[in-house]
Amino acid sequence: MKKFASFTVLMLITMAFTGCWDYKELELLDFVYGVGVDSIDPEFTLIAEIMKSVGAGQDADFQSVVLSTKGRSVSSSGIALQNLAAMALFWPHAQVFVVSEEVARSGVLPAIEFLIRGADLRSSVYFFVCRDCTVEELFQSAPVFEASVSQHLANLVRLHEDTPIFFPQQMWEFTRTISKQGISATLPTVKLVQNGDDEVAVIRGTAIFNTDYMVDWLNEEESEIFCLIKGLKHRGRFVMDTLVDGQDIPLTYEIRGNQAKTKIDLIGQQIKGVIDISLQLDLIEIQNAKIDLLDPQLILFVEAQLNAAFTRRIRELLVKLQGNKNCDPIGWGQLLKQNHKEVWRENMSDWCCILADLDVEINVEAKITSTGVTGKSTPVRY
Amino acid sequence: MFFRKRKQRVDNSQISTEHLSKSLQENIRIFKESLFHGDEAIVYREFRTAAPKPRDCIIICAENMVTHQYISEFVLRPMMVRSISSKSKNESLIRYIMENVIQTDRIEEQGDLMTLADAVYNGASIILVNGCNKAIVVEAEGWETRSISEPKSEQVIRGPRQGFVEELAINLTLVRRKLKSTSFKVKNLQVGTESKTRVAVIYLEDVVQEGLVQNVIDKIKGIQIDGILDSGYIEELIKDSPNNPLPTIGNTERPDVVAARILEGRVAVLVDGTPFALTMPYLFMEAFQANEDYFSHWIPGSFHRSLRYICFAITTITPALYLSLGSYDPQLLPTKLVLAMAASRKLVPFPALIEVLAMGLVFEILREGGLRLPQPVGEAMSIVGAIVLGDAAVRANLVSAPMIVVVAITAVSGFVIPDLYDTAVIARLTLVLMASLFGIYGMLLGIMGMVLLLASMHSFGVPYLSSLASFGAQNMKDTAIRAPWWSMRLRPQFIGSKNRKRLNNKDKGNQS
Repeated sequence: MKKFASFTVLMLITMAFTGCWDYKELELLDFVYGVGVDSIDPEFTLIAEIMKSVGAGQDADFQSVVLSTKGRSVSSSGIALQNLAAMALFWPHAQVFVVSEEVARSGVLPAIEFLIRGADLRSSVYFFVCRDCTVEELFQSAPVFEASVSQHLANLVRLHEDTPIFFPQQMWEFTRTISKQGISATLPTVKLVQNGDDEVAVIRGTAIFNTDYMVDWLNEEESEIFCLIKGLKHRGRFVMDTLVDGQDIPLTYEIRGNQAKTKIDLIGQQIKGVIDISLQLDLIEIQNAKIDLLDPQLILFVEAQLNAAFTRRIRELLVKLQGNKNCDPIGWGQLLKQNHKEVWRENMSDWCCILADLDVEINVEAKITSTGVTGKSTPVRY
Repeated sequence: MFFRKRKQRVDNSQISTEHLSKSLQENIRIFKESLFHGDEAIVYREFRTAAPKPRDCIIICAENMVTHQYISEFVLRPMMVRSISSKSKNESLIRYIMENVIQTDRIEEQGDLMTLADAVYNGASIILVNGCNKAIVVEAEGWETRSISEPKSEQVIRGPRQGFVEELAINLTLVRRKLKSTSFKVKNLQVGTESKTRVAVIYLEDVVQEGLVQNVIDKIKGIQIDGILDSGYIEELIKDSPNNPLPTIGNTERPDVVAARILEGRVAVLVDGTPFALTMPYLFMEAFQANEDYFSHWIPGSFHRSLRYICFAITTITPALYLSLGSYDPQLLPTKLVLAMAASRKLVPFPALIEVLAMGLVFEILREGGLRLPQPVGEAMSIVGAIVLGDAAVRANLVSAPMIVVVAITAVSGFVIPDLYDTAVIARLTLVLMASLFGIYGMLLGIMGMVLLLASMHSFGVPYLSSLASFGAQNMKDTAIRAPWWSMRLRPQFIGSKNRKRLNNKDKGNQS
């Protein structure tokens, strides 16, 4: 009897703390697909893209509706949004969270604090910054195939493995990064491009943060190099003007593999960064160039040019990144902290000055592993 | 019929003596006026033995319960054409007739009136001779029985096609033909004050655990009931935890299943008048074992065994999972699925719980209706129920389409484990109610409670989950999978511990 009573009490106590009391009927819910904040001062402007079913049962179709409300906080704006929709909003299925450039530059923490600690939004939601448009304009754009912009953006992130031109961040990754020393957060940026009469959202470039404040942008090319340094870019294509047969020809390469390693070396008292990149490439398109791809000398010559070009691009990116004071998206400070704790402690307070003048050695080894099925250019006879 | 029995009991109490007298007329009077009073189905055939010293005799039997031709040819004829020695008297005369006149094998002398009456009701013929206070009982039962056929409830694609019938003797023969060992033993019992149903307890003496047979016999002997019309009566009267719907005694219509279970060290009980034999102890995992697993190759056999476990989980959990995920934790569902579910429920006027309960009830009604109807009508009704009603309900927005899928998959999965079908219905309902109150947590709590219940149960002293919970390599070989025969060297630990070895081959069969 005593055991039964203990068991019952234990179960009742456990049940009371589970949070499973919120019974809901699915048909009375509206599912939020994407959330964004356009401004936080003087009031928070919360934007939500909501999926609405038109019709029922087998004839049901889905349309996205964009609602916008203002409030003194994100949560109060959320309640206002629910009043506007006249339906219970269900947030956990949101796939993207977007902030405007204005919010990013003034600090994103006020916009995300409620969402980080609350249970309403998944921490795996993808985080973006809008560039050259507001969040509301972004959600009201016209995706080509999907019914919602949020789903369209989520699909682009899924394609990232094949086209790594940005560095996707989920909410938990961003918040973890801004809470660490010696590394700065980045977020992919979203912009609108023209597609006929409509505007379509695309993910281009990267926003660089100092703590939770955005300080700079990286363009598309810079973002690609950034991904390369971060070791993300294992595949993808790029076009590079290459000197062959006495003229510059835009050859297209496909990345088959990338082993990137960043490390910090100490040479006496001097701190030195090292970037080692080993690339395996396929030469996939030579356009109308008349070259013999089976010629080993030619391949060596092309590889040397690739090494030089990548080194130059990496150097240009580093110059840009180091120009932003106290901003370290590559994470040199974190590397120093992990490998040389004493040195980090000594230099922690001056790290922004040291970072600006950090000497970085760049070693790129590009290897062409394949030149296509046929070894020679397509013959054309007159 | 019941009135007749009651009347008979009253008359029996008026019998002044328990034994036959030497007077044939007095004995006939007792049978006609007391024991079989008012029973017109009893045949009294009076005759006289041959000269020079004829004796008055009578044969008493129940009409159509004996082989009349057999009695005429091997009992009546020899006694009527042959002169009986005048020197023999009373018991020696009876013995003389048994040894020298009557030409049948199953024969005995008996003087107890009630025993003689029971014998007549069991299909024996009794011969009374004037001047003798003993009667000769000739067992020559003969009545119409159903022929041996494949049981409809346990059909197999590969395996024996024999099934038990309602006749105990035939059923015993069917089992004995499979177990020709001298270790095979039969204990005969009789249960039911009015039905006097014959019950046989069968087992392998060298394999069965000490005390188990006596335990079963004691429990059966302890039954005080007027009649046993099916083995289900005995099952319910002797099972452990009588209020628990989970089966702790197995039942089967197949002699091969009974033989297999006896070979593992179990005891079987055959009951006259029913084709369903009982086997005990019965463990939880037996519900997932089918005889065909052992007849086919062990890999497909194991696959089908695993499938049954999965189906049991599906039939028990699916409605509760649908309810808890849909009503409490839709964030755990894929986005597109949750949107489709929401859209399908948009015009349904009932909450999800009512939908689940109503559809479950409708299905059980259809099943019960289809089960009792003649087969062609039943099939037609199933089709009407499954297709027309389901489709119409969705079109009328009374239920959502996903709910139909849930009910269908639950039902089909339930049929895969027929032994646990009724239990699964109760478990399903419990879990649905728990899930409707507490969501996934409630469902998991319900599952936990059920596992605890299973773990606390016993069948004739053997833990109900013993083979599953013991984790011994040999015990696990016939649980979630059916290991190859050449690797199942030992009998189940908790059942066949007296003589565990069942396979002597050390290699994989007779491979060369």
